[in-house]
Amino acid sequence: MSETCDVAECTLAQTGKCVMNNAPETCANRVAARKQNSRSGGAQDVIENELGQPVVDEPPTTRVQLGLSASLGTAEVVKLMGERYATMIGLLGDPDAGKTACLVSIYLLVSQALIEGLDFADSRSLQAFEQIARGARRWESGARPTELTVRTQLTDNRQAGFLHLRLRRGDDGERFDVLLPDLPGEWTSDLVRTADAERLGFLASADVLWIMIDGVSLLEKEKRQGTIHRVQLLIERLAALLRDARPKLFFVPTRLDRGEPPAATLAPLIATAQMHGFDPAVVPIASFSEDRAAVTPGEGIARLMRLSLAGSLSQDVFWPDRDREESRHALRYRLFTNDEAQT
Amino acid sequence: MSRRGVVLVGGPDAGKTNYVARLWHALKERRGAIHALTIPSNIAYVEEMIAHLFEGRFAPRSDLGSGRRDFAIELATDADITELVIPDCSGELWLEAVRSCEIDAGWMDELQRSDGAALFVRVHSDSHVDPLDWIVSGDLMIGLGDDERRDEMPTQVSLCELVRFLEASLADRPDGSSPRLAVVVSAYDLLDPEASGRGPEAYITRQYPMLAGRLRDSELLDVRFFGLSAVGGDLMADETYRSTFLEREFCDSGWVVVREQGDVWARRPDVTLPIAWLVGE
Repeated sequence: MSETCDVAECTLAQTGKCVMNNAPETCANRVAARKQNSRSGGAQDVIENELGQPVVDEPPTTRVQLGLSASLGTAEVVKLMGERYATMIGLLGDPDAGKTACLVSIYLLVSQALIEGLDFADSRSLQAFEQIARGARRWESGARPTELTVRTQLTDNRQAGFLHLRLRRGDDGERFDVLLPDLPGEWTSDLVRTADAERLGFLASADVLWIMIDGVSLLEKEKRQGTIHRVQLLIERLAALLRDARPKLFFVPTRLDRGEPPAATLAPLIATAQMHGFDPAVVPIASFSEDRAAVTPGEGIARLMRLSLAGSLSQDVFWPDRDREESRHALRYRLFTNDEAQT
Repeated sequence: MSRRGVVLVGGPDAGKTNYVARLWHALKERRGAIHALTIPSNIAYVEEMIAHLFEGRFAPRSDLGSGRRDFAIELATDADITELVIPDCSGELWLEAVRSCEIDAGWMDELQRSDGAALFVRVHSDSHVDPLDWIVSGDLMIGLGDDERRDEMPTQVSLCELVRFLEASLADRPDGSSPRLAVVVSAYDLLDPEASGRGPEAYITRQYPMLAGRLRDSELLDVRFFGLSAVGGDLMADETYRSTFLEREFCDSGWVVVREQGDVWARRPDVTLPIAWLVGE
């Protein structure tokens, strides 16, 4: 039974006696306090009867799902790709390379209409973007996802999945669907260390690859060589995983606000990529900026997006490249068999 | 008789209640694009709301505890009788729907029986939430900042989600065409002449670029923009206007802004126009 009372000095809770000598059951101050406490703001009000049992005021109502705008699971990605052409961008890189910051910065740019020539048209993962950008969904240590999700649920932990953006080009109204995987950095490390490529099979369908590299580590003498070495290994693993497919490859040094890595530093990476049949480009970015006067947050990202979509601009969507079509079939097959394995 | 459901969508202070009260009066006066055929039997709620306007005050926010008060009225139309039904959906209901991505089955039923919706967005709203920026996001991502900011949703994101819900639930119109969405920019009288002259679509594009983009992209809804001033001015903050308002005939106050031939925005005194478009041919 609720013991609270409006009157501050009342000792009802401690002594069971009303300080004003009112009967507790009918004291106006207590009744008012009880009503205050029981108001929930939701559809159901719970009113205590004299025996202290809660009595539901209205019958519980049936709720209907309106559909989540969480990150897309594999089934939803396949469905989207069946409906329309989508540019899949594979983001890879060490855990601290800045992948999440890049995703957030893209979202912030788009939501404030700061990518010139490309406007927001839709996102099926809108609330996921919003939550990641608020730091509300982190990879919980010890609970990092180990596979791409089949069904997405809005839980406290992030689910590995895809973020979706639909953009409209200002010039001609052309629309582009972009899929950006939201994955823990460990998946890249695992690929490098143990050739664990199972979870990254979707990369075979990627149109574009962004290899994110912590720009600061390229500027620091003690870190530079190790970083270069690991990225070279990553390129070689990718070449094996992708077999004959060679999506557009970008090296994306991050944290541009802390300094731009010299061309000489990146030369070995370019050489390795070319050796394995890629035609790489370098686009440094500053997802955030600690020196806003010198470097705008989001710098480089608009250029990276435009270059990444440039292939899609000229692509004839009705007659896609046969190799890519085959690898999309492979993706669907793999995803469907994964689905079946889950059930 | 055909039943046409029109759902009013928008946050708690978006202007829906004041519009329904003003609309009721206009339908009764029978001078606008749509007219009331008869006075409905249950007008207790709209009469209560319009009483505030008659006294030169805006109607207060919807009281959630009083049960549903749908506004239903028979319209005189060229064809058979049309019953216009505006279900009573509170702003809180929409906020909760966006937050939880769930809605009561009863409300879903209303949405699915409606082939038109009016999305209200209020100029200079107190409940407007700016989009996230790099400073706030940066802090939140490294763990600074309080939980409240973490849970906030920018207004334009809520509005995009509402559009998504409407696309998924509204019914096709009787002739098979797509459901219609009237985007109503309310308190339009608060805009300066330059902004006002650019029209409600330009206002949405500037203030809520994501919403503007989303609406332009929609292949499932037929969208049109309107500006609205339910009573022609700010009864709360503008004493001069309030005096003027109380002096004149009630039906002479209030207007809408519509797009006309040659892509020109014009002010019209007929406040029934958004609903007329939603239920019209």
